[in-house]
Amino acid sequence: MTDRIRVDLPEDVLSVGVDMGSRSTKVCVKSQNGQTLSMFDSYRFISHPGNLDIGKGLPVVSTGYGRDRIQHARKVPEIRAHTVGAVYTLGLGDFTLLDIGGQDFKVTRVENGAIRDFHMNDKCAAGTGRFLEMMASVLDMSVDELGRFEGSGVPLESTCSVFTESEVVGMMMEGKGKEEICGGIIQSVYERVRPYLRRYPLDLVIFTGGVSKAEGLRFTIQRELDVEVKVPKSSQFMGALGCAEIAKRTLE
Amino acid sequence: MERTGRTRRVGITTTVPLEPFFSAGATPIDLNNRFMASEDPVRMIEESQVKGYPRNICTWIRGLYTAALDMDGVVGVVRGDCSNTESLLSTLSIVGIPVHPFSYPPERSRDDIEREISSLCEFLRTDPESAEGMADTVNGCRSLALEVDELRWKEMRVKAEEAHSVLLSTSDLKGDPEAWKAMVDGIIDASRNREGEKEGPRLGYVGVPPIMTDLFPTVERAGGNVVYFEVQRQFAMPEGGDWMDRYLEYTYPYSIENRLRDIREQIQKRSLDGLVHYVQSFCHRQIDDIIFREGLDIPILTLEGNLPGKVDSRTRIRLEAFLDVLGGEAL
Repeated sequence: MTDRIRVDLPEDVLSVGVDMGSRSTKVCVKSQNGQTLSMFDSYRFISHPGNLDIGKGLPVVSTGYGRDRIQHARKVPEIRAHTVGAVYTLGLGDFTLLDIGGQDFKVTRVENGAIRDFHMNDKCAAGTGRFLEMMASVLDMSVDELGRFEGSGVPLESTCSVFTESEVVGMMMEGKGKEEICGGIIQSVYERVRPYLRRYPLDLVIFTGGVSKAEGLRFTIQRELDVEVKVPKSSQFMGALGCAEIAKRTLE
Repeated sequence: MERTGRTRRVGITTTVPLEPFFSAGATPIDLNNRFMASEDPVRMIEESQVKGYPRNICTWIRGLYTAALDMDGVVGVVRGDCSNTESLLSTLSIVGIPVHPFSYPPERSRDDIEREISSLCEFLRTDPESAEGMADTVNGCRSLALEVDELRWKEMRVKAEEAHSVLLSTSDLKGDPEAWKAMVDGIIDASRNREGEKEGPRLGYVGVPPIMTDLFPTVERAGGNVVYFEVQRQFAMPEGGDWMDRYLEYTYPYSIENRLRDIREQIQKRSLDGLVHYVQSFCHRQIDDIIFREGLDIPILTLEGNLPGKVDSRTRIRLEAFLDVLGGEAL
């Protein structure tokens, strides 16, 4: 996340993609010389008025919860943006895309380069980035540190993020070690997404979104489901990359 | 019941035989519609919680409870709709409201439905013979609602929201068949001068009516055309037979196989591209999603709703993604 709140466009800009999520806003700017990626806190991003008419007169495509806030942009559904981003970045035709963001997760099945089906989590933040943030804060550690743990032992049993917080505090009171608590937290996230992944062939999982930074979770999915899990470079930017790509195509 | 004639207002929890109400001179009031049309539905839910209703019981039941508190009686469907209705009736009974449990018979037999209707007549203080005298009136209204349904899917001259509302309101005919008929005649007249709509995927809506107040206009704005309203259309009893048989042909309260057959037929007839399956949080019918996905060869989007209000952004994202996938544009 950058402290800057303004998106700078180079002179040779071709297209802009904006993925305004619930927690962070990802921007991809394509130019003659390649592409630049940047990430902002969504709240700060919106409060800078210049950002909302970013790239006026250019091909701009937006997606995410805040997609309507970006003026002059063509709005595309998230599933399309993320899938185009993944297909374009990786050049693959058959895979399951697991995107875990700030407050929801999406599982999209891609076959022969086309979307075959998708599912999103039910109305609950458990198993999302917000859940990991809350748990990390209770344990007084960074999300990165928490994300390094692999899922193990008994998952936390509460079905609600808020109650899980009390459960974690209870475990600390009982003198349980960091290893055990963190293992349980990652295990709960894994068990939350597992039934969604198991609906589709377990050939290849492409893991994206903010939570894909949690290496321990990636290992857990790989180990438990015996499936290859790839986290692409710039895995948090799939939506923005997809948008910029869709925008660029309008020039062709 | 103290009041008599048309002043006697009897709440219903879903579609029930209407003929006995009108022959008894009672006004049927669909509590679902009363709850949703109230000034502050969320407040009605809260009132039930004040009385002790659990927060994680379906919102419809909680809203229905408050909506029923000033009724002169309540007929609740305890078999074929929702088992929570049994407890709903019990909690209404202890505050002094006369209640009557109605069951769509699991065996789907003529004898059983006759027995249920007789017992309903007794509660309303009429008899099946007098009730039959109202069959033409009720049937006439339902046929008119089915005409609106046709104007929707065949000619696209009425809006999805209009067709949905008209079909839905056949559950109680707003308590007054004549006034209801005049309202629907108005909708049909207004549609005559309209152009038929329009491009975009043709969708079917299956499942209980939505708790979101603007679902159909939202789908329309997103580029989809809802041209089939499964349960709402069933409220208008599209199949033939005498007046009692209609309550056996009605698919919703019986085996899901009957619903599947009806949906399959309509998918073909109305050239549907996809289905939206609406489910209510905490409702047993969420499980039926498995059956629909197994038994119907068409893309399905499942939407879940909990509290009344406008379509939230999460639902909108799902809807737009679904329409996008149906649109089939290459990646």
